[in-house]
Amino acid sequence: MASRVRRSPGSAIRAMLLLVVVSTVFAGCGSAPGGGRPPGNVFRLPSRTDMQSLDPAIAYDVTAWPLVRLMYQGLLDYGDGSDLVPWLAESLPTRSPDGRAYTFRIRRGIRFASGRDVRASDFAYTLERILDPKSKSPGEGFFRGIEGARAFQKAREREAEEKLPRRSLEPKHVSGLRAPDDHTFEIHLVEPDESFLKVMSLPFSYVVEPEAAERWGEELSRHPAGCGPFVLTEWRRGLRIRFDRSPNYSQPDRPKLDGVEVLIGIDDLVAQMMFERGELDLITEIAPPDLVRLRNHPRWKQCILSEPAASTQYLSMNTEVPPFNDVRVRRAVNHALDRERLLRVINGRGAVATTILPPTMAEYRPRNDYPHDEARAKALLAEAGYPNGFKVSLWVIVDRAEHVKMAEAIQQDLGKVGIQVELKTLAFAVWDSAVSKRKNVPFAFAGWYQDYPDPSNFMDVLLRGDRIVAQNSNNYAFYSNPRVDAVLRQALKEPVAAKRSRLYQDAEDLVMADAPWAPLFHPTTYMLVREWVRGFKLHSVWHGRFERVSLEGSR
Amino acid sequence: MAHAPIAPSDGTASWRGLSRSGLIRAGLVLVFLLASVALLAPWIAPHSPLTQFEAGLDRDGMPRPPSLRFLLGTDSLGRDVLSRTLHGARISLVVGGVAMLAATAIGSMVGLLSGFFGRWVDASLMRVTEIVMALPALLLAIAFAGLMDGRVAHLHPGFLPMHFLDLKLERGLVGVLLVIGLVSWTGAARVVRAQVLSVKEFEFVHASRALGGSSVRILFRHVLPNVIPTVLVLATMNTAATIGLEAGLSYLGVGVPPPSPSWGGMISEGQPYLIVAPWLVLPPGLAVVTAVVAFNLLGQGLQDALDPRAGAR
Amino acid sequence: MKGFAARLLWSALTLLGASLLVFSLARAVPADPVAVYAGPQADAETRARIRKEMGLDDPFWQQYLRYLSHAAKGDLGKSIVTSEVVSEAISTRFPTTLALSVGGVIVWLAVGIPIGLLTALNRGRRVDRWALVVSMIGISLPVFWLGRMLQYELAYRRGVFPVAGLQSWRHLILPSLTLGLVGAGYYARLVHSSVSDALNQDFVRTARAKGAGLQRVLLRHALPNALLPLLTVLGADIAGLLGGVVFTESVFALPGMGALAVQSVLNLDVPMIMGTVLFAALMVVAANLIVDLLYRVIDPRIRA
Repeated sequence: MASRVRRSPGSAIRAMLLLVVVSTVFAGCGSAPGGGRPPGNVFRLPSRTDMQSLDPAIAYDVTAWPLVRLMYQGLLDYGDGSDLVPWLAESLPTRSPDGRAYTFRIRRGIRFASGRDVRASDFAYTLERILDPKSKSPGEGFFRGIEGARAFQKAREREAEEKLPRRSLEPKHVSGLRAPDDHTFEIHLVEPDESFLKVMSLPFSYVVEPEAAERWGEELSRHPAGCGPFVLTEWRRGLRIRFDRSPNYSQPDRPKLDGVEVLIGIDDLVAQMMFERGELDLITEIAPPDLVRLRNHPRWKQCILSEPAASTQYLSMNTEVPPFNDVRVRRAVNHALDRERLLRVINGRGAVATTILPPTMAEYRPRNDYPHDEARAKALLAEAGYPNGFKVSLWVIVDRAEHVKMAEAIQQDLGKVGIQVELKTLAFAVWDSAVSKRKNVPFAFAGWYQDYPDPSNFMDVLLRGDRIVAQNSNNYAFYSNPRVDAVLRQALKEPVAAKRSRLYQDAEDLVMADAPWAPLFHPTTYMLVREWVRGFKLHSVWHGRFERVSLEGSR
Repeated sequence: MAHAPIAPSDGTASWRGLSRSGLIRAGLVLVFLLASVALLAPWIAPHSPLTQFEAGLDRDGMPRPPSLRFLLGTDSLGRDVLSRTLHGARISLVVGGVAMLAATAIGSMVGLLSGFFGRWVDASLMRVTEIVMALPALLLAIAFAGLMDGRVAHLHPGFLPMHFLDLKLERGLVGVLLVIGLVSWTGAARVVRAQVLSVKEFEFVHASRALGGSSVRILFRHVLPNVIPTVLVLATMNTAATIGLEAGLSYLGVGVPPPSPSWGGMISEGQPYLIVAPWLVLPPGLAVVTAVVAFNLLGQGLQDALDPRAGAR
Repeated sequence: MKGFAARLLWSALTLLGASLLVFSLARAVPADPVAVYAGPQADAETRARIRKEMGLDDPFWQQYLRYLSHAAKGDLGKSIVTSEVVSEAISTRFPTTLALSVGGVIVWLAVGIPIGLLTALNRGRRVDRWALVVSMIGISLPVFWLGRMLQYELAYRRGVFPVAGLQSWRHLILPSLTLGLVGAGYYARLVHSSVSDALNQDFVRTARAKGAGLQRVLLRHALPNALLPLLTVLGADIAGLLGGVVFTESVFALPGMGALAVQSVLNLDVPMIMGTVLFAALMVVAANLIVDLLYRVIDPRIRA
């Protein structure tokens, strides 16, 4: 008995030691796993979260768009760069002398998944559907410049309010959208807009079959209604989305894949492990920790594709609420950040940002208004009446791992000049609804990826004071400078490219001086693609074009 | 898993394979070790748990493997893993201790009142207990944690006498304490009630009643002291469960917010680095296991010591 | 069966109480249910109108009763983040959780019962002590940590199992093992102590003294004796699992109830949180009832 008493704690400790040893053996690096390609001709990729919608009028993020493109197509697309090329149109549209109207000729022999021919009026329907308040399309704002769009929206809103039957009030249609015959489609704008053709290349405008859209309503996502090469065949919430080849796709670039499968709920680590085991063909974003290892790995380094993303990640300071209503405080924050160090924390995945526009844009000009300077930051804070700094919450999106990491580093940088930052990490939906509300969140870690390659997509969307709305504002800083607004309005109409660039640069000068943002970095996209994937290239506008992929050894 | 570690409510699952004093001794040694680490963390930890060292990241921004300067390596922000793990003991023990105290206090009170007064008091309190028990603790804790975010900001933590630990009690930490306290009192309520019911039948209680002692007096003079041993066992095991729960909540991102070095949070932050830097995940994981084992051992030993059946063998 | 009818009633009341608790909790949330029904461009006036239409200005009790009457018809509302119908979300997630739970329970019993028997027969010997220590560590392991370790070693490095996801039944083996290994120690000790108790009882000693074989004694006396406590604990545990196997689902990317619940809390998605928590409560209450019923079947004394 006595001996047992003495030995027992010993054996517990021995067992724990054993556990340590076992776990260390687990962790000790050995040979890298392989994993061959499984049979089948299906392209498999991961997604961290489920898609909200794959309805082209609703889907609005970089993960959903490549999938929307499997099922839907539009009038215009980009070539290998950011050059516009005709897609369902026969050629680029002709433009009226006053610059307000575009005429598209639509290709013959294009069919929807149902087998019905695509007609010019379907494009008019598609754009009306986006503008109809009932659709709740987040892309609606892009198309408000079409002649008659506002009147159309007002009529629909009144019908809803007064409980009248739908389409009972005039105007029943958008006057600026016309289809004189089955293969001619005209768009008339209120005033010239130099970015409009790029807007027309957004997936929002991809043509939907009116009959299907009317029939399925909000459930359109789950039913075939486009004219693309694939149709959605299975969507198990939280698990996977499966696309199969469309039976009625008749165009020459027939897909070589039998299907595309998106596996949902896969976090970065799991995606990496699955990829290396051959359970995935592609990873759309290499996680920060693995990049360095993969770059030095004899096998995986050949699978890395990279390209600078057209994006700026920044700290947004709400200019309507203290302490950030004082420009000196905003400048102090800018001076306090050691951007080189911040970038290193995320393994140097990108470039230090000191501008609004990313380097991918022709209008980009390097500048450095706010070099890292703690003394200057402290002086500015003292001048603004915060000699001892202040306390503030920084709102961060929890599933952006690199944001959370960098935020912890920012915490340290700002702490050095007396600004005590508390991190508030939230799911995107919660973060977005709070940050986009007026006078609600003082300090947010935000980022913007371009929708189309044009400076207006940054400047007008994110920084125009006359576009601030009380809720769901994209101008998270609620920055409003009438001079900036005037310059931007002028730029939108300016047909001469060089002059137009100059105007955007002027606007950027003004914005940087007011410092509503502290730009942090321009990320680089890193994808990981298995050696058996063919025909996949990174694209500066579309992350990837999966519809062109084929798998080696399959037909 | 929603598994409650060793419910003490049924004496059947005791760990009689080891003698009780062996269990107690092993448990005490481990708990003592943990407590010392927690108390002495600022002195024994080689670095501050929050400092992001320049030298803590290599040229590519990757964490450093274990070395003489950083004995267990550095984490993804260049902080010392050893120091963070040691300081993590403070969070774990404070959360474990305070939340356990809260849960045990609430539970014991409910159990005492319920068992002693019986009738409608008993019926209604037990219904409430059953309702809370029907809601799975982990899910409820997650829901509470998510819903409470931002609401406990006004609760100033100064009322908690913990400043001697030099622990920054942030909003999140107070939230976690409340959440855990609110969901884990039910076990104690049931066990204490049962205990009170049996004590009530003791002769001296009857005698005291007959002599006209007031209810309150009887409750505190006679019933309470007899219930204390049970509560002690329960509290110890609750601590184990609570440490596990805190790690779990922090792992899911609804517990102690960064940059505090909570073990669960460290595992969660470190696991994307599992392939490249396993030293981020191993130490906090082993620390959780050690802490939970320690309190389970102690609790089981105490229970066996108090269990007359176990003593008979 | 009069006692059982009463239990049934109490169960219903418990559920009702749980729903009230969860409902009051959810009302305290800042998340705005109007947002999902109003478009992003809706102005204050439209929002106010929708608020009124949705009955959000009604007194608390009216809102609660309305929620109840809808819930009774199976209508738990709609997610305010993904617009998914809550009852559909639950019915698509539940099979995954069920399959995983079954796997976990099989491991619990397959590992727990033999070890429990073995240690009960070798009480105090080396094998018993080691089993005790290992079980103690087993139940103290954080599931998410163990899961990651197993996933890394067995799936990623050795390729014995798939890493994650749910493409086939093989994807469930490793998660079940993770879940099972953590709980098995508990069941081993449970079986150990009930069998030991039985072996020490007088009638068993008598039987053995009379020369009854060990096997016979175990099967006839010891195991049935272990059954009742086992059943009680198992019932409660299964109910807990069916409400959502939070950590295992999260590690292995399985779209079950736990994953759904965690996601909805992170999104502050009130209708979904309420739906998942209430569903979990329903599981617990139902399990209690079933265990109660089984007790009556197995042990006639309780019927009295």
